[in-house]
Amino acid sequence: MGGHPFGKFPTVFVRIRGRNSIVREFNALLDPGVEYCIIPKVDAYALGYPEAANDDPISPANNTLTFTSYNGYGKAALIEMGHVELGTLSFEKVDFLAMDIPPVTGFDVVLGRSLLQFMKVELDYSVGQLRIEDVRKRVEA
Amino acid sequence: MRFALKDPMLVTIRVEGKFGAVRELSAVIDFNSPYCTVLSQDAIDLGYPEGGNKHNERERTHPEETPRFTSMRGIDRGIQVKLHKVSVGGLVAKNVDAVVLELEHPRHITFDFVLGRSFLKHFKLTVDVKARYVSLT
Repeated sequence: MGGHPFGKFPTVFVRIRGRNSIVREFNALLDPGVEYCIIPKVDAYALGYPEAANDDPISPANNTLTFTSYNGYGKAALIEMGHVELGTLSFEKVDFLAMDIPPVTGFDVVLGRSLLQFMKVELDYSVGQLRIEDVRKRVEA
Repeated sequence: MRFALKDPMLVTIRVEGKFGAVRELSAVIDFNSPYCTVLSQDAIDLGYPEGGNKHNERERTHPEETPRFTSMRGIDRGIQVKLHKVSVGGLVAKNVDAVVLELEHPRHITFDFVLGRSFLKHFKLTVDVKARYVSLT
């Protein structure tokens, strides 16, 4: 994807297919500072990951992950999303954390390094241009 | 300028405030924070005594200096200051907007400053996770 313009935030549309083969489209924020991609719990549940809805602190889901953020420690279910499409690029088996994003942010999901590891991302903040290159077939020197 | 990709993405920066006051700080690059963030003690040391106030007190007298902005925590508010100069190695940005904010970060996160888009807007940023580097030009 070359020369994709962005405004306040570098956002793109993504199409995500879950475990139950349901497909949903989201407005996604690209954030290389985040280790995992993030999807709201309700969407993870709808895409076939019922463990995302488990809030029980006594018997958490087996795939619960503890992480740190600006807000301190948090826990969320780590799920493997079946298929992620971003423009003409498609990716299989991408790790997502199921946790809620404040609605005021204006985007639905966050694409972190669990997906960005397959791409080279150029963010030109001075002109608001985003460029994504698929590096999966690149041979390292 | 190229940095190794780390988690968190920490770099050492040099900040120049009012009247030539300079501090070298450990900063985390936050690719989507609208403002740079400086902690209140550093803001005071850099010549911005208003950074010692609470933002709701400051808002009563200077509402234009307490912007609201969105972050992953929801709606945040802080006291806005204009840093004279922020430099990372040879990369220099002048008159950088920053907010004074107390972060509730856990003790093991060792940064004093957040480099947000008010600094990054002067540069082109490339992230290559596979090759493990971040570059600013």
